[in-house]
Amino acid sequence: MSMVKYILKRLLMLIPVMVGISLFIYLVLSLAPGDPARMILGMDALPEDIEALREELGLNKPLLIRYGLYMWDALHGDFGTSWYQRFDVASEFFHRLPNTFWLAFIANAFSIIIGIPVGIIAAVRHNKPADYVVTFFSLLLCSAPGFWLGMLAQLLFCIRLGWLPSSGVGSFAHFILPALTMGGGIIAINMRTTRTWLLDSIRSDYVRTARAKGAREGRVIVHHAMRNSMLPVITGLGMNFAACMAGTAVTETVFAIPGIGSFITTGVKTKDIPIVLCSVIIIALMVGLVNLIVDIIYAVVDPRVKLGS
Amino acid sequence: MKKKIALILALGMLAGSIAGCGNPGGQDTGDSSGAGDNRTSEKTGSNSEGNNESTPAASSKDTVVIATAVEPIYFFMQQEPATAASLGQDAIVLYNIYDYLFNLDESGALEPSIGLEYTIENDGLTYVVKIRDDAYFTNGDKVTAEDVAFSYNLVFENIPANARGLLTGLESAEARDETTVQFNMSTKFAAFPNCWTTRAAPIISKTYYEEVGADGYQAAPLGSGPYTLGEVVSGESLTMHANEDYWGGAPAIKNVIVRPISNVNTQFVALQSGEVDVILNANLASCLQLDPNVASWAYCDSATRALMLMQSNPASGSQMVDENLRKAIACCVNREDLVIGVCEGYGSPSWYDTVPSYLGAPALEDCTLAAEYDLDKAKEYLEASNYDGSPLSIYCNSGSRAEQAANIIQGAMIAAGINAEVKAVDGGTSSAAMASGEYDMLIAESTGSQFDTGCLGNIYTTPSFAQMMSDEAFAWMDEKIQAQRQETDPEARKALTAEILSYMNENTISVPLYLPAATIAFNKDLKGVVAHPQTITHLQDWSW
Repeated sequence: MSMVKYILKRLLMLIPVMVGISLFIYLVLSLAPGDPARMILGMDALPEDIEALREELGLNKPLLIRYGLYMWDALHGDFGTSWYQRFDVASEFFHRLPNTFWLAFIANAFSIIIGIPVGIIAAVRHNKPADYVVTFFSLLLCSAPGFWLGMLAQLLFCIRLGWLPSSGVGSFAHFILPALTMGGGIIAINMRTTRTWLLDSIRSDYVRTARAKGAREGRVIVHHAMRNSMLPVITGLGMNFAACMAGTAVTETVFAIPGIGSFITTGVKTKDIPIVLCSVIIIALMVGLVNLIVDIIYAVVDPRVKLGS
Repeated sequence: MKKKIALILALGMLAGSIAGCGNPGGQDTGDSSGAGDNRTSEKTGSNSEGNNESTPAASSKDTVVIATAVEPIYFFMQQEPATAASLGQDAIVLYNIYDYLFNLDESGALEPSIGLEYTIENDGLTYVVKIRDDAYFTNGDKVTAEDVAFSYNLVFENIPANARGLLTGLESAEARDETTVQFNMSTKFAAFPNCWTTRAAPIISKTYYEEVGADGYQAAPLGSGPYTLGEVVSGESLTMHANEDYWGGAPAIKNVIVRPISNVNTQFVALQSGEVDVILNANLASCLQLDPNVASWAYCDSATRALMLMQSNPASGSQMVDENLRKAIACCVNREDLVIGVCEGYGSPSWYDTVPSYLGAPALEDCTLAAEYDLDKAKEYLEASNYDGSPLSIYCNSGSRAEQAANIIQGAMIAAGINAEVKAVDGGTSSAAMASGEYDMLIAESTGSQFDTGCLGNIYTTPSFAQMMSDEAFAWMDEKIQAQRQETDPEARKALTAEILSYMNENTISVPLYLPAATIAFNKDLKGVVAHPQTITHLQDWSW
């Protein structure tokens, strides 16, 4: 019962978060230089045409009234129509969402499949060659900008080797390079986090006790040390997934993936407020839900964590 | 041990760098710093040798994949004509699924399409066009004069006032008989025949429009062009299929896929890896690096010109009102540097504010040209001015060619003793600055709506430009431009145009900078590809 209460409480807490984020974005976009009506009609538009379009878009109303009206419509599922492209922004968002989701999912999957085992190896082989190699590559991946890594990967895998497509979507192969590019930094973070926390656990008394009792090394690492060291890693996974969902703009641009990152970028560039607000509200909601799920997993992994208490 | 590990890691990094940065396929790219031996044209726009020998695989292909920087959006111009949102990106679809009354060839001349010939009546206030009687919409309906008249009347009803330059002077259109259309003008406009080629008025079916309405037309456009629109996946791709019954003959390329790829590097990786076959508006610097065994590129003079607007309206409060200061700045423009630095050496210097290949453009020797680069003279003008040394802003769009130009000009201005600040901003900020007149200088690239000097009036008689000139200058320009638009005698029109362009240079109203090239990059096996000044592509001319 306390778990249900906790979830309800967290869901209610999302409401002020949504209002805060959407109001902030709305104000920033509305107060930034540039009249959307003039941008749509062009530099040489006549004042009467601009005025007519401003009226049509509701730009002549006071700022907070406009925001309120938008949010009221949004609550009823109407996130508006793109000022430039005239499509329903929510439909377009959900049309593009799977591409971003798969990109974020595969990038995180790579970070788990590669980052965590390699981090474990580094911790177990502490101060040995394997640890040095892992440390070196994690620093390399952390410090390499995603777009640079992506462009090098395109040259190598698309032109020179011809193994993978350089752009677009349509198959799993299309996502490999973008996911590795975007996941490079997360792989490195997972390697470092796993290594650090596992080392901390390995040095703990309960691990020493387990060894003293004659438990096999593999069992000591997997069942005793790892379980405790995984909490910060799981926290990181949630944060990383959220960051991936909201931070795909560069990768999507480099690999020409029609996802929500490039969608938001287009909206910001053209001051197309319905596109940006719709995207931000839905992403914020998803991030809030992902964090809630992570907290629930927390409680499952660590019995000491009591949700709602 | 640590040294060994360090050595292994260093070797690994070196091997990775070599693998990643090496020449694709181990092929020799030849000289990439100069003219580039893989291009197929010498500023003519004609595709010549270099792509004549196609591979067996190429000859069996019937699909072309085209990369564009921006996704085509509007397929029904009568509903959404000529807003800033519907610019060149739609041309690849519009000019291929629809027929236009006439087409503009690579030299800027009109060539027959649905329209076969035209005559001028009523002292230039009536144009009569004879149309072909063997053209059909892809639903089987015949294209009639009534469809043509309806197409123009509908676009004229919906077109925003600022875009009326696309159909300047038009009042209405009517069908005289099944194959004759009459255009009635409210005022004379000598460049009107050029309007028949602009993207604003494709020929649509009146019957189909009445059946499906504007939204239905946008969703499923019906034209009489060489292609029909197939599947459109937003943000991903757009497909066109050949119209086998096209009056001009069935196109050799049966399927065309248009893919939006905004990143220049990705466009060229996709071209070299064979994922795309053509890049529209290809980046010049990247064209020079293309592997000639895989791809070619072509270029020609574009219909675009770059200019620097100079704030000279006394109401603005800008120091630029001082004519000597404006002249000093004009002397700081080194056009050779701009052509090399901005256009990779493939553009031309611009000496007056129009494109010399436009119809009706006067000869350079008949005009007062822009000041040549001369820092000593700039200093003399500066000495004679009241310039107080405070910073002068040069607005430009961030990341554009205009920003590169602004940086080059800024360097020269600083050398002359003028404190110049480059303000590279987003489109919204620059349009706000332009609308309010709150700038000292603003660099922009402008493409004429018509391939004709008649389009001067689309810019210099609009409210935004009234903000940058004195009332006296604006009134003079307005009067002369209206006269130039209505003058039908070619020589008299050229003389008027020369007078306007000279006035602009003499009073430093704007400073012409450079004329960029129009480019297209393509698979070397693709035939018939040519660069077009307005980036118009006629896909029925292409084949493998």
